[in-house]
Amino acid sequence: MRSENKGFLFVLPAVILLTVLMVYPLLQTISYAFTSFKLAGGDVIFVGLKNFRDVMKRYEFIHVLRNTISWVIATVTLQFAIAMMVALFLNIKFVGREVIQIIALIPWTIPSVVSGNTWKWIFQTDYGLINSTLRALGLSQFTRPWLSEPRLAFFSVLFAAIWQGYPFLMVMLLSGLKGIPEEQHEAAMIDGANTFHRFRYITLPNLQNIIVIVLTLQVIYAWNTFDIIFVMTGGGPGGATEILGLFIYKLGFSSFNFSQAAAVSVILLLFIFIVLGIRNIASISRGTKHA
Amino acid sequence: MKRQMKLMVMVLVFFVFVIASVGAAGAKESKPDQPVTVKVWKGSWWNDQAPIVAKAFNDTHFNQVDIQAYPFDGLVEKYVISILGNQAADILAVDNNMLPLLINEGLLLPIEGVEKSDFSGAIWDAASKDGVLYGVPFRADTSGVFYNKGMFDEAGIAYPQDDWTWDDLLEIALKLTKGTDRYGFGISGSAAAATDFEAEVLPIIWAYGGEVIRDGKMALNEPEAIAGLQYWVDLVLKHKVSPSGAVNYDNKDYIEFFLNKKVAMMMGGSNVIPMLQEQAKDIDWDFVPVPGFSKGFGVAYAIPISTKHPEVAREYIDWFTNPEILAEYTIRMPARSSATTSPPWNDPMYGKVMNAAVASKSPPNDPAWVDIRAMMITEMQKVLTGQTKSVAEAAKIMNEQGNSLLNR
Amino acid sequence: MLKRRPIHKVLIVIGAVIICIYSLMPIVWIISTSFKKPDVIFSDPPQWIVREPTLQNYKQVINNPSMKQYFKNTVIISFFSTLLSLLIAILAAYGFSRYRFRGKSTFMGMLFFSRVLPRVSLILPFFIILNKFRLVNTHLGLIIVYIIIGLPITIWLAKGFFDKIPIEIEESALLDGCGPLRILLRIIVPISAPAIGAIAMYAFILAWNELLLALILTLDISTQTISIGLSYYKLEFGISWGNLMASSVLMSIPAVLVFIFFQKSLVEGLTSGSVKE
Repeated sequence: MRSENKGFLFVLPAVILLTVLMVYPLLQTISYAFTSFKLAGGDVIFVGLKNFRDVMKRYEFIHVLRNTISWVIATVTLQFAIAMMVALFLNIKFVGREVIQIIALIPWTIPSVVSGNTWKWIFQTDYGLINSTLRALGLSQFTRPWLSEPRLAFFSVLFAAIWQGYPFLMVMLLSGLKGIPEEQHEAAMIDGANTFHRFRYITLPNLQNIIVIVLTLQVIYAWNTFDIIFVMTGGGPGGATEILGLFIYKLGFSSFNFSQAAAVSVILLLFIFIVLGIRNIASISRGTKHA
Repeated sequence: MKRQMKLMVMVLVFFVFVIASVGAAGAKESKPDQPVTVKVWKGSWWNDQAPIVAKAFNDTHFNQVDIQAYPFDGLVEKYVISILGNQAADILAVDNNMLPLLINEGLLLPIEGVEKSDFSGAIWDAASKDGVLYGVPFRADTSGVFYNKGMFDEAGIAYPQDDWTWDDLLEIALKLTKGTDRYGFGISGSAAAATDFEAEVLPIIWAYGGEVIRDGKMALNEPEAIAGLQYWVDLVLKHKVSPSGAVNYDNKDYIEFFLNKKVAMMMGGSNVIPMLQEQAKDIDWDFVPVPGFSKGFGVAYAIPISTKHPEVAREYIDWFTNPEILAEYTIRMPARSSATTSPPWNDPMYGKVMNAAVASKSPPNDPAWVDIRAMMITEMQKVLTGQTKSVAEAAKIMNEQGNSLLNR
Repeated sequence: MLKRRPIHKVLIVIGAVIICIYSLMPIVWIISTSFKKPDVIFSDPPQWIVREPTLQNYKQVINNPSMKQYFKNTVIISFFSTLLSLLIAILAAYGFSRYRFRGKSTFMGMLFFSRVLPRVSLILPFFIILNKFRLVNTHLGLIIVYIIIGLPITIWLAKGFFDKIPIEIEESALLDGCGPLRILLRIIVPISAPAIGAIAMYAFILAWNELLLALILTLDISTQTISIGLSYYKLEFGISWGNLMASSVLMSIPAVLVFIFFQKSLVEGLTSGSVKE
């Protein structure tokens, strides 16, 4: 690593954009979170932690939190598993690989409004695609209330969200796989390593960088998910699929309560801050600082 | 080394130059205003009609109007962000959901000198606060029941009359339900379409003599309200005249069912009529008001505080809400009962809806209503899915949570 | 190439089939619905293969006079935001990867935190700022916004890739008097083709499909994108399924083409020898 201020110039365009367009939202969010005001202007009153207390007292708060944790864990792990398997698969050379690769990417090209509504229709309880097809095949005993039973609704929406989101993850992993020099694999194979060993000792370590980055960003993306859930269930039934993304949206655009929406955002920021802080402390004490 | 630096600086300068020049080219030039052009924003169903209305105004006025229609999805966001960002249109078409919230936040200008006369009561109330009007209604609607006459004929049932009751509806629905092949009546439990839920549950509660909010407090655990809610729930759970997936359905789904002959009766407003006329060609259908009071719905023209031309905005609003102009140029049910001089409003089908609108009540105008309604949907969904065992239990929870939302 | 055992071939075929079914099932439905007449769309039992296909949905969409403009706008915005994203991200990632400088961790932190804020917290400030710069309802405004939203991922991904490239490669070039920019362009970028392909795809789709910001930051047809055009098919009281599906299919075609173009970089990996100098 070179220690020169030249590096600053390289990052300058990005930094300019970020400073101009991201610092303001950050500051505004923080200010909304700690003040109470009429949207139309007038006095801005500092209210300390009132917004935080109010939003945490809301009836939805606890179950939104719970749902979000389940959602994030389920989405990220399942998406990652599927993306990894497909990426590894596509890393093998076989005839027609390029075609299959494109096919695997197609879900990514479908806009949310279309995929959300399509999946809602597919999973619709009474005349949706799945249940209708099952009935037509004489298999009505397998029909289920995919979106009208709380736990099933959660999984149905999860399924649709994963379908939509895994191609991105897969492409990132695939690009990482392509970055692993073949000699490493060849050398290992000569040493007698089988597929599993190679995966564990060559593939994974090489991908570590990318995996950590992408997983972290995916976690954040997951708890902010809004589009597809809203279209499919609106957060129901009984709040079963209401996660943070929907909750914040509701606070901001149904109730126009920007202060509370901002308070939740600040809680999120704090959470990340703490997690990062812990990570940094841990790696400093281990003597390795992430670049 | 130095050459590298020079190169980088040049690249950066180039960037800034590109951005600045494109930015300058992209920025809108402000024309010197002689005639003032005010902007009007409406929902996407006005897309085709907007230029026609604009021309009618522009040809006859010195000041001009520019009408834009935006997709329904995201309309609320657009309004709010633009007002807050001081870049909103001069006139917004706002429905009775949004009005109390916007008024409460002080985002709309008061409108003076408009007489209530024959404006529809429900939307007028939603647009007023403490005797001050903040929006002039131009659309008033109410939902009623669309029914498939063919199915009635087949089962030998008489068509519903204006004075029918919810018990009548249940009786009819039971006769018209055929297992899972066809349902008698659809109810909307979806959390994504709160107004559909409201359009059913409120009239039912009212018909049973109950209220959601009485004297500023929640009234859902009164026996009348509980009876009403029980009726609604029973349609799915006990009588099975509504589909099992009702907890996740809304009017949009039922329109599809109706067209597909899977449901005999469905709720809907007058905006469904043109669509049915076009797509339900093989169905003999008709419209009847909801039993008892129906829930009123409407849209008003409001002026955001960010406007720079309030007087011209008033010019347009006054012009458009004139009964003859309204009747001629509007594409949704007019909010004035005298606006029936032009087709299609002089069509008996619309006459029915207008009459129903007269007997409509407005949902609570408390700014907390949107939150309370969302909470009610969640709790009632829990009854439908069995998570909450009884309506009485749900009513108690809804009352508690509602009261805390009201007192915030 | 290793000789493939028959069992491997079978497994590969099975894997390919699974991927195809999983990815394509809804797509097949979307495509087939786009060819259906309105009264058949919800038929029970559902028609997977359309008995009486019609082109009326496509005709309606293509003949929609606004569609051409939406398409043009989206192409401009997506093209430039992808291009500029790549440029800015590659530069920034190289800077973060190869240099130590004052403020480095602050900037990297900023990058990270900018992803944490939910969209609700972003749209109002974005609107206000763009308004100040008179960039509302401009192509440039949306381009900038999309670049920024993508920055956390584009930069971090490129950096992750660059970090794995041994710095020794550059040493010899540096000794030869090559400047860092040259090194970046001539050495690093060609090696990083897979990452660049992935970043380009990500940036493109981000701009191509995005809806909420486009809705808020545009005012009329001069800048509205296809996503917005699609939303018009979601009506107040229902969905115009045939049209929605047809326009969705049409909208996906350019995206698929862009993917085909960029995925070449994902097909070739690092061949041995390219890393050694």
